[in-house]
This record gives sequence, C-alpha cells and structure tokens, in this order.
Amino acid sequence: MTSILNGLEAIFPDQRLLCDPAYLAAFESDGLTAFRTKPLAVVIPETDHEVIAVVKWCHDNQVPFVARGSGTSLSGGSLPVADGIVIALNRMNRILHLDPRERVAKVEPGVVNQHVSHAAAPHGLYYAPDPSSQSICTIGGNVAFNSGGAHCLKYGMTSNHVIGCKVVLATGEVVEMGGASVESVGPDFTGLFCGSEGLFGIALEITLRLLPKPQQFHTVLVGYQSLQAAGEAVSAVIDSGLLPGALEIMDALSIEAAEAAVACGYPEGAAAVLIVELEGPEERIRYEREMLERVLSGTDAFAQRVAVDEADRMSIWRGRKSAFSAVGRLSPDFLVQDGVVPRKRLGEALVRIEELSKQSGMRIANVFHAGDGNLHPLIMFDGTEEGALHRAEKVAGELSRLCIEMGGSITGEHGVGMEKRDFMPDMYDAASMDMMARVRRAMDPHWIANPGKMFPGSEAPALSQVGLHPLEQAGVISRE
Amino acid sequence: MSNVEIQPESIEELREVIRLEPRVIPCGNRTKSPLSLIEDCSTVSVRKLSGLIEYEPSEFTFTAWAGSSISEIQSELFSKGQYLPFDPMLCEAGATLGGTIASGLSGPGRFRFGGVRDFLIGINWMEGSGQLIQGGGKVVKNAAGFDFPKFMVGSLGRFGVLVDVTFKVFPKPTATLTRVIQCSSHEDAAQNISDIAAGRWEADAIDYRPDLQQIALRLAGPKEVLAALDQEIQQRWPEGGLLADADAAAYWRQVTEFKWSQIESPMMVKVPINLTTFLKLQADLDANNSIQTHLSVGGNLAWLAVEDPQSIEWVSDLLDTHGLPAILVRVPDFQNPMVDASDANLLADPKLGCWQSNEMLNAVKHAMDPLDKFPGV
Ligand SMILES: Cc1cc2nc3c(=O)[nH]c(=O)nc-3n(C[C@H](O)[C@H](O)[C@H](O)COP(=O)(O)OP(=O)(O)OC[C@H]3O[C@@H](n4cnc5c(N)ncnc54)[C@H](O)[C@@H]3O)c2cc1C
Repeated sequence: MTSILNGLEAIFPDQRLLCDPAYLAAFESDGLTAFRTKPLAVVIPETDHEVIAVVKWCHDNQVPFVARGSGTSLSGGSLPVADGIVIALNRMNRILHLDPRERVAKVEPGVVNQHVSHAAAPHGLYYAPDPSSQSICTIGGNVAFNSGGAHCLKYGMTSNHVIGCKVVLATGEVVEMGGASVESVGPDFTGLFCGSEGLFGIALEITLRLLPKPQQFHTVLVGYQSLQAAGEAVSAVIDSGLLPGALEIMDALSIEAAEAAVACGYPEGAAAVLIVELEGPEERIRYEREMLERVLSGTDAFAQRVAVDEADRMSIWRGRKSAFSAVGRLSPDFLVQDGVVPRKRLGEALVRIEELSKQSGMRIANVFHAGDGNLHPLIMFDGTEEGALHRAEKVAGELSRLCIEMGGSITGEHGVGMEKRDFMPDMYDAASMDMMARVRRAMDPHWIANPGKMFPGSEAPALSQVGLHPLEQAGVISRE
Repeated sequence: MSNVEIQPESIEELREVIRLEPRVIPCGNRTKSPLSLIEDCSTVSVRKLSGLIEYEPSEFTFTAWAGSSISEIQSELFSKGQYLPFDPMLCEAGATLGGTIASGLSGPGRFRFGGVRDFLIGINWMEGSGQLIQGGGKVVKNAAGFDFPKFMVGSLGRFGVLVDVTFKVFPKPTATLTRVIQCSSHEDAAQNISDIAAGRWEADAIDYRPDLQQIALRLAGPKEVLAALDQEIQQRWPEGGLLADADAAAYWRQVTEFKWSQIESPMMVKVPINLTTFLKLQADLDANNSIQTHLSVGGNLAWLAVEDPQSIEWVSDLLDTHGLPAILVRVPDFQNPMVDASDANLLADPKLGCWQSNEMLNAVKHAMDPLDKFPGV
C-alpha cells in the first residue's frame, strides 16, 4: 500500500479499500468508454460516516476524489482522476424512509433508480424520472447529472423531483439542503446541487417526490415516409394543446438497428417513426385519444399502430429503448451525442446532421426526445480504421457547436463531464464561467471534487476505444 | 430605511446605479415589501425593465425583462392558450416576474406540475460589479453548467439583480372545476388530501382552510372529462359541493391575492411544511384566533395571516419550536412600506422561525457577491 493511503486504512477494512491494479481496472472507465484512468485507490463505504471521513481525509491531504454510482455516465462524469480516490457508493443502497401519505422517499445515493419505483408501487406511487439506464443507474448519479428520460416535457428532469439532500461538501462540511416539503424558503441550494456533476461534494441522503401512477396509457406508433413529416407531426401535436407524456422520433437507421436487435415490428419502409404517449385517468385518455387521432390523421402518416395492452405498449417502447445499444449491430463503434435545439429548428438541425454525415463519410443515426428538442445523434465508425475515432469526435464537436448556434444546449441530460467541457465557454461567456468557478471554489476550495470535469482546460486522459458499455454488451441496459 | 426608489430604465442605467451605490437591495413592484425593507441599502427597482423579449408558443418558452408584471405577461400567454401552471401570487397587486422568483412564491397550482423553480429555465443577472451573468438557457431541457436559475428562487435579491428571465410554459387547460369537501377534523382533512393527491384524478390544486375544515379541490382539463372525474370524487366525499364558476374563480383569486383571511389587512407569512408537521403546528395555532391559516399545495405550504405586528415574534418562536423556517412576505400597507416605527423594528428581518446558518451559505454568498453589494443572507 502506498504510504499516503495509510490514513484510509483507519477508515476502511482491506476488502473495501482497493489498491490492487486488477481491482482498480473495473473502475477505470464509465459509460464513455473512450477514456480510461486508473485511480490511486477505490473505497467502498457502507455508511455516511465513512463517506464523510474519506472526504475529510481527501480535504486534509488535498487528494482528489470522484464519487461513483453505477458508472453509466455517458460524458465521462465518473471517470477517475489519476492519483485520486474513487468513492464507490453502490453499497449505500438503502431506502431510508418511504412515506406514502406525504408521497416522498428518502434514499441513500447508491439506490438504483428503478428500485424507488418498485418500493413505491404497493402504494400506487412511482418515481417519475426514467433514464433508459434506470435498471442500473443510481439516484446519486441521477442527481449529480440532473438526468432525464422520455417523460421530461411533462414532468421535468431529476431536479424537479428532488426536494432535499444531505451533502458532504468537499470541505468536509455536512449540510442539509431543502427538506421534507416541496416548497422552501431561502436560496434553492437543492436546485443548485442537482446537476452539479459531483463538483460540490457527495450526496449522502436524497429526498424524492413520488407521483401517483397514471391510471392508463395510450401509446401510438406512427410511421412516416420522411423525417420531416414526423417532425411536422410533432409540431401539430404541440400546437393542438395536448401535453403528451412522451413524444419520441427515430430515423430509418435507428429503426433498422432496433429491428435487427429486438425485432420490434415497426412499420416497414418507414423513414421515421413517431411515438406519442398520453397518460392519465381513463376519462381523460378517452377524450385526448380522439383529439390525437384527429391531429395525426392530418399528418402525412402511412402507418399507425395503437398499443392494445401493456405488453403491446412495452413492445413499442422496446424498439425505442434499445435503439442506441442496437446501433452496435450496424457499426463496431459509435459515439452517442446529446444536444438540444429549439423544437422548431429540429428539421433544420437534422438536415445539417445529414450534411455532416455526408461530408465526414460517417453514418449518423438519430433518435430523439422530439417534444423537448433533445437530439441524440449516433456517430458510427470503425475504431480499427486509422484516425476514425478522431474524425468521429470532430463530427461530435460540430454537432455541439450546431446546438449552441441554434440557441440550444450542448447537453440535455447526459451532462458536460469530461466529454463536453471544452464547449462550455461557447455556451457561457467568460464572466458566467468565472461565476461558476467561484461558486465551485466556495464549495470546494482545493478543487478536489471530481476535478477535470465541466470546466475546460484540465489534462485529458488518453483516448482508447469507443463502444458499448460492458453492461450493454451483456444486454442488461440499453441507452436512449 | 428609505422609501426612495431608483428605477433604471436600461441595462446601462442599472449598471451605473449598481456601480455607484455602495449597497443595493433590488425589488420589483414591492408587492412583498418586507423583503426589500433593508437599512442602509438603496432600493433599486427593475419595474421599468419590463415587457416580453421573446415568446415562442411552439417552444413552450418565453423570455421577458425581470420587471415585467406577471399579469401583463399572462395575458399574452392566455391569448395563445398557454399559462404558467404554478398560479403566480399577487398578480393583481402587481407582482413582477423577478420579484416572484426572488421571493420564491408559488400558488395552489404548484401542486400539479411544480413551482416557480420548476418553470424557470434561464436568467441573466447583474452582479455587484455591474457585470451581467448568464445562468441556464432558453430551451426547455438543458443540463449544461450549474443551475443558477433554481438557486435564485427564494434568494431574496441577496445575490444580484435579475435582469431578464426565461420560463417554460404549458398549454392552458380549457376548463377547471372546484369542489369543496367538508372534513370532520384536521386529521381527517390530512388523510383526504393525501388520498386525493395519490388518486387517479390528477388533481390540479388541493388547498385547505382549517377554520372551516374545508378542502378545495380543483381539477383542470376538458370540461366533459372533469364532470366525469368529479362524479367519482363526489361519491367518495359526499360532504361538500361544487362551486359555481364565479365562486371558484373568487376562491382561488383570494388565495393568490392574499385575500382569503377575515383579518383586515393581515401580515402574511409563508411556511413550507408537510401534512404531518401541519397537524402539529395547527394544533398550536387553533388556540390563537388572531392568526389564521390557509394550507396550500396539497399540504406543502401554509400561509399564516397574522393580525398584530406584535404577534410576529410569537409566530417566529412557535415556528422555531416546530423546526420550520418561514418568511414574512406582506405587511398591511404595502403601498407605504414606512409602517409605524415601533412595528418596523419588529419587521426588520423577514426571516422567521428556524433558519440554519452554515459556512456554505456564507462562502457562496461571498463568492457570488464579493463586493458585498447586496444585503447579507
Ligand atoms: C445504456 C445507457 C442509457 C442511458 N440513458 C440515459 C437516459 O435516458 N437519460 C439520461 O439522462 N441519462 C442516460 N444515461 C446516462 C447515465 O445513466 C446517467 O447520467 C446516470 O444518472 C448516471 O448514474 P450512475 O449511477 O451510473 O452515475 P455515475 O456514472 O457513477 O456518476 C455520474 C456522475 O455523478 C457523480 N455522482 C455519483 N454519485 C454521486 C453522489 N452521491 N453525490 C454526488 N455526485 C455523485 C459522479 O461523480 C459522476 O460525475 C444512460 C447511460 C447508459 C450507459
């Protein structure tokens, strides 16, 4: 054991303080498999006292640390820092308190997203944010990244469902943010903490708001002969005054991939499919489905399928939810992008993406949360080809710039992390970047909490390979 | 404490004022006057920085100057069939967007889709040096950078001057329906609120008046749908009745305009709470008839109407024993914040009850306002 780590031995037993390179290898990367770094050590706390103790130790010794949930970040958020400590939180996975009367749950950070809904289900409640990785990603990671999912337009992102957090800041100070009410007074620190990407400290306890499970869903899959027609259908739905829970589009390439992977039975020959999902009490659904039918019949659709039961609904979603991992069948490697453009410029953005694809000679599949203009272009390439990865990265960069130019954002839900930090100054001017740095320093004076992320300019670890997350390869999760 | 207000008419003028004045407390139309009654501070109102900057109904977003009155903005939204679902407070009294954000006030509609924090997506604010800072963006989904817009909700103007703000909006339901449910006790009411909130009906607002032991339940959506949903609710809770449209509108307006209490010109206190704590607090308040409660947002927010400025200290102590932080948002003559001098002392700090102070708060305040231009937190 390196002598510097001696202090950690007092906090953790051997089996929860990993320094052996063979063990560390499991933690050297996250969902952005392009980057790898070996940390100095990994600790696996089981209580908040242990987390606080290791953060204090890091503070006292000025050793950088990275909190880690399930390591599914797609932007390199949980990538270790060389010579730093990884604090793996998966064992902090207790649901501390679930109060059906107040419709809240207090959880430890390592609780898996879907487990909250499972625990709430007997009370007719659920936890709304549903990233596609929900069967594996943790609430702590969701909070750090303000993660989204397919239902953000109506219900918002993670931060709209977090009402309080107990946090150990990078200084070792333990603070309570928010509380037991959805309302608060004073500056909204809970809101500021959500999406701070692990740069302030570590969430030890998180209080979540639960919603009643919708009584009914009405899920429609519509086939179009062009992407543009699908895009116009989205506008028509929005303009009708309906507020669907989900509005999703897939293009021909992603449909092809999904068919190959899960035989989802989407309309043959479709250049694009649109998934619209309404939810609510049956009386409302009866009314709104008629409205939706009228709207859709005015669009240029050539095929339509309405889910007849829950199994059918799931089969429609299976195609959508598997799309990205499925692209692995069309191409040995790919980069997944995440950007936002104003909804009315979706069409224009897609044309530009097509041009980029032609210019670069790389195929790009598109899957997107059309309701909120959140694009997920998938850049396909063969990593064994000389320079291909760098060309793909260049295209990804162009896409980020395109989103900024159109008045959107470089990330809708995957976070800035390591991957997009260099684009932050294109989105925020120097004074605004400086303000973020000042606040970050107030929370973390030594700059030890997840350094090298969100802010540009730090050393980048070497690129290695790009591809599916090991769990995707195993078919455990798929990405949106 | 001065009643003189500086009203810059452009960003340049605002910048000049901010640079010149040693200490500044920003405000809008001062509908929540106790929040901007600060000694040794120049009061700078952004009320002249007003109007829509961009409104894209198809994007579900608008950007407006922080000094815009909400009622003005709302009429634009309504004309396009959209709205801010959280029932902004004090619109008729003249509340501005900036003031609503800084005071962090949301009305009964917060129950269904979230509060001002959940609909605010972008801001530009001026820090003490006169520099404009951007937080968030203009699209409904954005995960890049720290979420300063949310942080500013409830920040009471202590971190800078909001200049322009971007909100997400939703399609406005075509109809609403309000049913009153008579309860037998506060405990019974709490159970009913909880059952309604967890039910399949998608309640739009659930408020409760402890003095009348009455819940008001609002549904929103197409008229036909509401009537069908209401049938089941009526069967389950037969005690009570439907309010006629005009009465329903008046009921909710009284809540958002702070006119629900029988106390003449009350002081109004905002208390974030939950059902469990409400029951305990209300047991103590029932004994005091100079204080009335309106429970809003499905049991998550209590408004206390307090008759006598002298009682404020008592209220503050009581809230403290229940571990509740609160703010005093309104005093009787809001047109003239120069209330009686002895009372003014009592009202000097709008923070009531149990506030935590920690190093983080001070460190962030210092980081965001290094020149100490704005009052302390
Ligand atoms: C197949 C696949 C599909 C995906 N689909 C979606 C999707 O639909 N929507 C979406 O938004 N994202 C999606 N993601 C991205 C990813 O799942 C989310 O970002 C998720 O929130 C990460 O959770 P995690 O537990 O894996 O966190 P990690 O990757 O371990 O960590 C993420 C970040 O959170 C920080 N962190 C972790 N725990 C804490 C804590 N307790 N306190 C403070 N900081 C902490 C880490 O330091 C890191 O910066 C997908 C990823 C994959 C691989």
